[in-house]
Amino acid sequence: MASVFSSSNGFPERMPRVAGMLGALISESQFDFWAREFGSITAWRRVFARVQSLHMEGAETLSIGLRPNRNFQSAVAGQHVNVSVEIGGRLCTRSYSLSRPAEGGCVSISVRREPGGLVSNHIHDHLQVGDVLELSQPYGGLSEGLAEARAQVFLAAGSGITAIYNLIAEQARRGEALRGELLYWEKQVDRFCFTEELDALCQAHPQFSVKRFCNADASSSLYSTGRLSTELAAQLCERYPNGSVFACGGSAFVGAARELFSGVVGGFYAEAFSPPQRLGGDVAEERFFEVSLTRSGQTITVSSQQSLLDALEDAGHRPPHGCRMGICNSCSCGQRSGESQNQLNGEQLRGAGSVRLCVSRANSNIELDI
Amino acid sequence: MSVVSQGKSRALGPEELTAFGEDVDALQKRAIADVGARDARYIRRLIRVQQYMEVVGRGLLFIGVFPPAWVLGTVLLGVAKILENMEIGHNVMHGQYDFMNDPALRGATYEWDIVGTSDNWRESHNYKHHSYTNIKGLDDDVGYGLLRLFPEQRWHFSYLFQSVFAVLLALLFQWGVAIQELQLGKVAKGRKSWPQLKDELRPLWKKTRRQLLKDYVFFPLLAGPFFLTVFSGNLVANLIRNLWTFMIIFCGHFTADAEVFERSVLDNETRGQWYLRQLRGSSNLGGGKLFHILSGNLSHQIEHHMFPTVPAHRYAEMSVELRAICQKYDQHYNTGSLPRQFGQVVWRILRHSFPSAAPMPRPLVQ
Repeated sequence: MASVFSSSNGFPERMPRVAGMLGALISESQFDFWAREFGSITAWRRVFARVQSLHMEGAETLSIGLRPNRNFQSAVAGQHVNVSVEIGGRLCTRSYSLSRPAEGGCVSISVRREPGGLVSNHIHDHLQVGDVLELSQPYGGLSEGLAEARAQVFLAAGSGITAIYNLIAEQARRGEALRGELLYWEKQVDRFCFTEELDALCQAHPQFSVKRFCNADASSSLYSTGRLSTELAAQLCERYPNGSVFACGGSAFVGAARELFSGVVGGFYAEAFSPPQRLGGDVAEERFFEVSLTRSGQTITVSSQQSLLDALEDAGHRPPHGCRMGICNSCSCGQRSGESQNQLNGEQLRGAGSVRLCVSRANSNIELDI
Repeated sequence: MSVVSQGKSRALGPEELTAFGEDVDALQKRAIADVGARDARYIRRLIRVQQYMEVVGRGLLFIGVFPPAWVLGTVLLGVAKILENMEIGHNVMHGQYDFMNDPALRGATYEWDIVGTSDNWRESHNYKHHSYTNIKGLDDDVGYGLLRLFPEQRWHFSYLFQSVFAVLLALLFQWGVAIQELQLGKVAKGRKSWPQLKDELRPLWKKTRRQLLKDYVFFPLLAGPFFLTVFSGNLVANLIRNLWTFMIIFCGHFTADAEVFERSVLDNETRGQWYLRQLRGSSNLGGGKLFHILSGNLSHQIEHHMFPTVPAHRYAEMSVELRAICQKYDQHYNTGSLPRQFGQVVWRILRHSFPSAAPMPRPLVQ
C-alpha cells in the first residue's frame, strides 16, 4: 500500500491540464493556502474534511459527520481513516473506524472519549460543526470477507463496534439480507452505541440478532455476562458451521478471537486498534545498536526492545507517522543496510527496503533515510 | 587544541567549559520545552503575510507600465521572496516547525522558491555547515571555494581578483547556492567523475528550469502585452533577494572577530566545545524586530548556530540570557550594526585578496 497521505485521486489526476498550468506558477502548499483563504477545503493532494454534524452515540462516544474534499477516495465499510486535528499548534493524528455507510460524499467516524486521551478529549470538548480536519485515505480490508454469501458472526469489543456496525449497516443499506449475529461487549451499560439502529436491523432481518455483553451489570435482562470463551466459540461454530467471523476491538480481544476462530470455515477477518502491549519475539535480552541517519548525518543508539519510531523520538527526531500500530504506513521510511524486524508480522528486512518505524526494531546496526 | 585569530575571549579551563556547555544546554532545553501554539501561530501569520505580499507584488507588476506600480510590485515581490527563503524556507528546513506535524512545513521535504534544490541545501548547509561551522576544509561556506576570507587560508594569485568574484557572487547568489553542492572544483581537479556530476545535475536542472520558466516565461506571458514589465520586475526582485541574502549571510561568519578553525578541533570535541566553536565562529547583527524577520533571524547567527532547531523568532529573547552566559565566562559576543559588520566583511574580502599572515595561534580552551 502506498502512503495513505498521498492521493492517487488528487487535483492533478482529476484535472491534469489545469493542474499542469497552475503547477507551473504556484506550489502545492500555495494552492492549499489560497483555497483555505477563500474558505474552501479544496487541496492539491491532501484530504481535508469539514465537520457537518455532531451527535452523541451512547455516553462516551461522539459521532462526527464529515464532508471530505474530492481528493478522498471512496471508502468501504469496515475501513479506517487517520484523523489529524491541531492541538496546541501540533497536528495530532489518530486512527478511527468509519462508523456509518458513506452517503452523498459524507463519511462518519465515532470517537470514544479515552481517559487522558489527548485527541479524543479535544474532539469531544472543542470540535464544532464547520471545523476542518485532515484525513488520510481510507485503509483496511475488513470487508473482504463480506463477498461470500455465508452467515456472519460479528465480534465487537468497546469502540470496535464502529467498524463492525458499519459493515452490518452497509450490507443492509445495499438491500442484502443479514444472516448471523453480533456479539458486542462493553464495560459499562451506558456505553453501548448504535442501540436503536441495531435493534431496528434485528426487526427488519429475522435471521440476524444482537447479543450485548456487559459484565459490570449482571442484574439486567438486557445484557448477558461472560467473556469470549472456548465454550462460546464452540457454540457459535456449531450454529454457523460455514460462517465467517469478523472481529474488531483491542489487541487482547482480537488476539483471543484469532486463537478461537482462526480455523473457521468461512474465514476470520479482524482488525485490532490498540498497539501490542510490548514488541513481541525473543526480546528478553536487551541489546543496543547504532542507527545511522543518512539525511541528517546523525547516528543514534537504539535498544532492541524499543520501536525505531520511539527510539528516534527519544533522540529528538520527529519522523512522520500516523497510527503507531503498523497499519497506515505513514512512518514508512527507506532502510539502506542492516537488519530490522517488523514486530507485527515477524518479517525480517535485510539490506535495502522500506521499514515501518513504529512497529519495527533493529536486529543489527542499520542505516535509515532520515 | 585549536587557534583563534582574535583574542577577545578568554580560554576556558575544562571545568568552566563543561559548566558553560551546561548553561547553554539548559537555555536550549527551556526553549524547546516551551515550543508550541505560539510558534505555530507565528509561522502561520508570517506565511499569510508573505503570500499576500507575493500576490499583491505580482499583481502590481501586471500593471507595471505605470512606473510606481512597477517599483512597488518589484519591491513587494523581492521582500516576499526574501521572507520565503529566509524566515520561512531556511528555518523550516532546519526542522524548526517539524513539531507541528504539518506536511507543508516538514523540514525533510520542504521545497523553497529559489533555483537551488532543497535537498542540496539540506546536505551542504544543515549537515556540513552546521556540524563543521568555520572549520577550514570541512565547511564549504568558508569562502565558498571561491574567496579567501581568512589569513589561515592558503594564498594563491587568483585571489587578487576575488573582489570581482565577490560582486558576481552577490549578484548571482542564488546560483552560487544552487551549484555549491556540485563541488565543481573537485570535478576540475579530477576528484569527481563526470557521470557523477551528470547525475547530480539532473534534479538541479529540473528545479532550475521550473524556477526560470515561472519567473521569466509563464508569469510574463500571463501579462500579455506587458510581458516585459513583469519579466523585468521578476528579474529585479530576484536580484534584490540575491543581494540581501548575500549581505546577511556573509555577515554571519566573516566579520573581523569571527574565527576559523582547524580540523583538529573535532578531536574529542565536547558539547561545551561545540557550543564555544559556534559562538566564536558566528556574528550577529543588531536591529529592530522587522530587520530580524527580514534577515530570517540570521541577525541572530550565534543563537541560530547554537540552537538550529529552535524556532528562530525566539532567538531575540534567548539572546538576552545567552549574552549573560557569555559575560559570565568572559566570552566575546560578536554583534554590531549591519553597516559595521558588513564593512568588516568587505575589508576581509579586500585585505585577504593579498597575501596575509595568520596571527599567533591562541588556544580555544586551556
